[in-house]
Amino acid sequence: MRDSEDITALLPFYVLGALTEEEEAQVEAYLDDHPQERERLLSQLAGAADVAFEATPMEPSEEVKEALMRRVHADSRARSDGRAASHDRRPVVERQIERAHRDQARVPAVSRRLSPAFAFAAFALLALFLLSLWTVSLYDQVNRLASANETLQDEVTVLTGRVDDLTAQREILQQELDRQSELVALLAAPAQTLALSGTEPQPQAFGQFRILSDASAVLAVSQLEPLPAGRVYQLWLIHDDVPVPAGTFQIGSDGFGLLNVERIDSISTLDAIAVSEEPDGGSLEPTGDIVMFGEA
Amino acid sequence: MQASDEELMVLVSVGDAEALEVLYNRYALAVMGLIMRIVEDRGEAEELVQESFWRVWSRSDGFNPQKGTFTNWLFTISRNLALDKRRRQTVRPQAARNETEALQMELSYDSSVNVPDSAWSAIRHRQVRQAMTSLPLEQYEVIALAYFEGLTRREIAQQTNTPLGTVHTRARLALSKLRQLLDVAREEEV
Repeated sequence: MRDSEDITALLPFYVLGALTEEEEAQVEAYLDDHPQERERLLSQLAGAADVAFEATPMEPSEEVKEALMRRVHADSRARSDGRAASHDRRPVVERQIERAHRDQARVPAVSRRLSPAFAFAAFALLALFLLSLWTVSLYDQVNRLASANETLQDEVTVLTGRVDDLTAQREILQQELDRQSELVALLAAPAQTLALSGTEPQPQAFGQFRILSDASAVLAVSQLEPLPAGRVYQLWLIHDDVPVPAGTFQIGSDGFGLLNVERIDSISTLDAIAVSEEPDGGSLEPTGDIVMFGEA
Repeated sequence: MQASDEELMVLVSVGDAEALEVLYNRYALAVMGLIMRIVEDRGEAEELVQESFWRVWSRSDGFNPQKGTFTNWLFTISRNLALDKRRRQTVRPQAARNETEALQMELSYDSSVNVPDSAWSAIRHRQVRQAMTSLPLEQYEVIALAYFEGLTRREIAQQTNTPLGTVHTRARLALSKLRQLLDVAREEEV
């Protein structure tokens, strides 16, 4: 039981209706037991009604009064007809409403609040929201896949380039292999071989001149420098100190060159062979530097 | 001579619809203003105004003049309906507002602009408004939080970060001063 001091502290909130049910019951019990205290204490404080008037007055619409008075007149007629005979003087409609509220109290709060239209609207909103989320998710996924596709495209381009490079390298190597195989075959055939050495302009060069049994021959040279455009190397067969043109050839980027001579006349009088630099198409007699020489 | 609220309630209790209509005309503005202050929705407030006066009609035997005035009883019905309605609302943007700022806005509102001078409620409102604005803000805050927001004293202490004893003191001082100012205002009105 609270004492007077406690009640004094609680009274303002009792007046304002801001106590818990337990506290309100305690205050009322105290005031009921002390009626003089009720009068004294409450007379010192402004009432709840006074505070309520602090709110700005506002006029409700006419419909509010009309609806109220319709209900009141209907209930008044019902009373005078004697239909509201029970001690519960409330109109039948209100009793029915209260009974309905009691019935509804058994229903979960969520379903109690939901009218069909509201439920449909809520469901539609939820469905729209979920659809929006799904759309955003799909859009994000599409963007990621597009980005990944671009990356893969770039990689394909790079790999395609590498394949092209490797293909070109393979072709070069195949040509080199073919040349080497041809040379090996020629060198392996029975023949008379003359060695050539590089002269002062290209001392690093060396080669072989192979005269085959059928009087054909092949010249194989190595480490000759490639010539600029408009210039060729020319082979000379020297008979009695007279150089006879025997064909022209080019050097590959690897410094290697081959020249087939279909027929050598007067092999027995061959004194030497030489290679010189000449203009395109060759010359009737050496005009450029003799870069290789070999004696028979 | 105008019938008092208590006399009208006697007539209401025996089914006099016109007596209720007089009470409605007398207090509908104040009830609407009180409910609007709490629920802040005109449509809902008008429904609750009708329900408030319907309860006056249908539960007239619940009014005991020995326990308080008719206006106390009427405003208690209206306030409880409004607070229950607000607690059932799922979204309360106002809950996030700065209460002190909101109260300052309330205090700065000029109530004389839109209120019809002929309404008794308007007169009463002006008296109370003038008295309330003279209270220190922290005292006004306690009263407003307790009455219009429905907070208990412990909830008020927590929200305002104030010791419970201080809340008690502020409430007592506020209502005591309000009583004195309103007594003076009534005397001047007479």
